[in-house]
Amino acid sequence: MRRLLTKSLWFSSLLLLVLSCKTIEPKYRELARTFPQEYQRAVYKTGITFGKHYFTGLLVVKSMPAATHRVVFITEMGMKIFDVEVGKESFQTHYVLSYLDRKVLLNTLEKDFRLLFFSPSEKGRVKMGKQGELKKVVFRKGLTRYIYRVDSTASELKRKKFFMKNLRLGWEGEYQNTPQKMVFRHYGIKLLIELQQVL
Amino acid sequence: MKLTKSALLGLLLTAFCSLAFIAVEDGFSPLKDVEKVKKNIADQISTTSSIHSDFLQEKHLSFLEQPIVSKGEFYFKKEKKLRWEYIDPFKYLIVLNGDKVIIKDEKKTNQFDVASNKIFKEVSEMLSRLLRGEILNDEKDYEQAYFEGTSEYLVRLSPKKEEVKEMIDVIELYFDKTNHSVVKVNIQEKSGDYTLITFENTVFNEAIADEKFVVQ
Repeated sequence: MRRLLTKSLWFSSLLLLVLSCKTIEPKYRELARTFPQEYQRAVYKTGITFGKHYFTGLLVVKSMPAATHRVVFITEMGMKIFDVEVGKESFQTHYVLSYLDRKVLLNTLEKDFRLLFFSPSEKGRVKMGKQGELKKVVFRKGLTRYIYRVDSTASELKRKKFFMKNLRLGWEGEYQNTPQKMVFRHYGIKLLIELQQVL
Repeated sequence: MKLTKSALLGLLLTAFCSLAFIAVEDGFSPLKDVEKVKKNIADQISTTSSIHSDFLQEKHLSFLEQPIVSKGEFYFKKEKKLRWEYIDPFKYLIVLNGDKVIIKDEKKTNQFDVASNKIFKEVSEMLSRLLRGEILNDEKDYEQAYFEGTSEYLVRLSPKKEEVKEMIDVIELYFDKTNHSVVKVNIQEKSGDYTLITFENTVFNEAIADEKFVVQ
């Protein structure tokens, strides 16, 4: 009986949290986007640490006319590893090296890259400080929360499923309207992606 | 739909004219004395003990108006020593020394046995065969076509192996007609994207210290 009561309380709290979400004003929604809607190409020197393995390459991104973003990963010597196009609701694979053509990998890329170009949700809440300063924006999408914070130098977006943090995306600096440095840290799959703009 | 004889003739003529137009536009025509040029290239390679050159790499992607340009230095010393170093706009170093590959970027240095990785093995073998001139006799793995321009010979290599074909459609090697050295390499993908590497300030047979192929 007590367990049932606890479960009901949990469920009610979650339901209350989900239902208490409001539509976030566009000016706050836009804050969580790493890239603006339009920009010229940007090239990032990229280091990927996956478990004990370390890979490097160049990530090329460019906004496309149909409100999508082209993302291409090549080795330093120019060999193409993948070439994808990310839209708010769409994800197109133009090319992926056959041994990396795995659904789980492409799903991770899709989710990660979409966070760079689109705000995670329209629903959630904005938390302001006592002085009227922005403390955080909490986006809600189903049972997943995305928490955006910014300080004087860097921005971060944390993704939490239930109460477990599973991704942190940090970015800072600006060059030609695009971030200079970005870091993706996945907690569940021990994946770290570090990107430094070079062009 | 059936093609009439005249339509078929028209189609063939159009195709032929297009091919001729491409050849003229490129400034290259089929090479007549292939064996002589192959011998000259082989001779040049056999008398080369070392190469030091600057390189300019352009990655052309169809959706970009301008290519991604990187620059660096290249060292080669017989038999199996190679240093390929990117200097601008990022630092990245690949050293091939015998059976070891060392890769260094701004954060880490990794060393591998060439044999431990299929891609390293393939790339290392391809580079070695290229630098020894053996790739021009490799009809098992590459289909070859030879062309001649005003100042360069062009060798088009089409890979036959499926795993290479997936990444590379054609490799174009441009040889200087006077000294038979490689001046440009163009690696084309099926998508039409390509990587063009141009060698400049090339010096042959200078003394290169073995330390160049050691990474701390």
